[in-house]
Amino acid sequence: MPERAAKFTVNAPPHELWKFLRDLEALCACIPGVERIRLVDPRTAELTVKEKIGVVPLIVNLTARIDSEDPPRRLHATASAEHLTMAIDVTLEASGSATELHSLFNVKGEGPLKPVVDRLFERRATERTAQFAGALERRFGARASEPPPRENWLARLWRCVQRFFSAPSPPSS
Amino acid sequence: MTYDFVVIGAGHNGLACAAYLAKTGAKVLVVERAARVGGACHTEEATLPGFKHNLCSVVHTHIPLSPVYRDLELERHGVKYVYPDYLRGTIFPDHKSIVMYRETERMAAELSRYSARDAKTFRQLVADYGEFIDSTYLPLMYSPPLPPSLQAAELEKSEEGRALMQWQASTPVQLLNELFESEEVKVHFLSRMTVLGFAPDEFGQGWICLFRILQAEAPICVGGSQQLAHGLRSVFEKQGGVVRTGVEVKRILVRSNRAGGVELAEGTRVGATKAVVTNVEPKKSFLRLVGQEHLPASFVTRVKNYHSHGRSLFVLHLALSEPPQYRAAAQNAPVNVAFSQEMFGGSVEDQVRAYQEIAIGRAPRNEMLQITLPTLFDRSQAPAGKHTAVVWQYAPYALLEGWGKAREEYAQHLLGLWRSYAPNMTRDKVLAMKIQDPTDTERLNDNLVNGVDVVGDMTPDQMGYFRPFAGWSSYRTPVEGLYMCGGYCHPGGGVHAGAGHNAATVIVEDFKLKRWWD
Repeated sequence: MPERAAKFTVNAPPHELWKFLRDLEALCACIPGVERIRLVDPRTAELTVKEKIGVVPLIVNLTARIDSEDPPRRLHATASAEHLTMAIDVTLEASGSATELHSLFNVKGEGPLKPVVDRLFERRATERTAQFAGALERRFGARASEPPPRENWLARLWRCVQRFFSAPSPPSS
Repeated sequence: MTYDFVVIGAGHNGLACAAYLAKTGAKVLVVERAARVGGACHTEEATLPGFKHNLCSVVHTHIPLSPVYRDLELERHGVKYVYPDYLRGTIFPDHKSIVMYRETERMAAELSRYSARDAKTFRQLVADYGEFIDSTYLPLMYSPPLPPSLQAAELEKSEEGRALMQWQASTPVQLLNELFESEEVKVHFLSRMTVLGFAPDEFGQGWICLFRILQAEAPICVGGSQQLAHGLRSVFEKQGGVVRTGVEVKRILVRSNRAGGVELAEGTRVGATKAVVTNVEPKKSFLRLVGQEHLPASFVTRVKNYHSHGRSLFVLHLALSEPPQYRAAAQNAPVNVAFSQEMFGGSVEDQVRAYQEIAIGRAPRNEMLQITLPTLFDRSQAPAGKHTAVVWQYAPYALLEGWGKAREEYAQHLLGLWRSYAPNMTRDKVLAMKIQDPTDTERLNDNLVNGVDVVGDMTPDQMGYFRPFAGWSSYRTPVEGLYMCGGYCHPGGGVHAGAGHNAATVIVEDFKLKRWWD
């Protein structure tokens, strides 16, 4: 299952960045390839994403839903489409007057197009993450940092253990 | 004797499938009628001691980049590849030439010697479709074929996708005429199709043509093609798999629509508690080994209609005292050291006509020649300073007058044609020659029916979702516990182990085995 972790320092305090993340229309305007967005409810949006492979566009209709959140620190969302499911984890950490944004995208291609979806995500994820960071920089004057190296299984396990023992917060309604 | 799985046929697809299954912990037996493993990966000293000739497969285009190479760690099992610096050299009757390069700009510069517009078109094709081919072609080779409806549904969403669909429906000649103006450029790219057995005027081949324009790798297996089979066997046996060669399967045991094992020609029965997997071409697998009485009538009809009528190859295996020096090299030096030299006449019409002649049982008198000297890149395949060459000429399987009397004369005719391009290839430079006419190819490996080296025609009605039959492209069959894994399945003939890999994926899923690979 392809995944990508990234870290940005955004020139805004956590609560301001959180407000932005929870404004799905504003957020999606910063995500490369999003062509259309329709808000279903405050936690759910339908998106049309166009990812060009050379000259040929792959058009994906996604439903994104925030599954759980711990304002203004952590958010977990799931986006699903006909050929893929994407799990998104976002964590915000105050860093002086700025905020460090940690994101982890985990994509699972499904059905007959799985090999194409997985390969495309592997090829494009880093570039698209950098574009997203650029969009945040334009909006907040953020300083984008290099995505961290991909974690090995031990590091992932350690992170899961840490999460398990951290106090879970109920999702806000 | 009882195993979890019995695989019939130790060609590279059978061995790859068996290796994937064995690594799940299953108990697997591979039975092979021949004394050797490898099927079309067949290297032997066919002329003189020390001269290794590849009797069928010469190049393994996709293997080094495939999941099979990575998953099975074939490099650790002695399977290594070398890459020629220059990919192909198309030589025209006037001794001009086009060399194929990996790098877009070098390739465009080469084409610009014939047409600046064609060079620009090539650059644009790489920009527009290069990544699309990279992102889709290889992944889709190593997974079961897409239903046509799904493929169409994705493409028809955009104008560019719809244009691609129309190209897909066209013939290679139509596509090349639309894209390029120079006859030489068209001949060069068309040969990339016909050399694989795709007819130049067959509708529904445009997509393949586009791929062949943009992709042309030529990895050569060090030590000869057979090394791939040895590596696969090594992986398999290391996991506890058993290979039995020189053992013929008489029939597949079917009871209550379930395959339960095989009966060998010697009379022994071998049980398969989970499944039997056949790497044998469809007519022999289903009409002979299974028997029509165990199959639905509609399936039997599909099997009977599976066809292998395309062009086959008349092959010369030569032991040479020196490599050929082409006249064309005077103006384009890399021609001499490209992976292959291809002489397919001076016009698109020449290739179309050759295919028409072959269809009526005539061997083309004009050159439809591809020459490869593996020893230019892998010195281990011949004694020091000497070379092997494989000469391919497009030819019919069923020659009107029969190959018996014609083969010697035709071989000499081809050597004469070759000499007109490479004058140093005089008789004294040919130390020994083995002629392999299309009937010999079938005798060497009867999966290659009618000498068709891709295990059944690669025509639109027998590709992708329709290979081998509509509704049966998932490697499963109407008999429970019987699976297909040969080149007659998607993604087709050629040495890439795609069918073996994909069949293993489906079997592992069906039997809920541990899928140990990514």
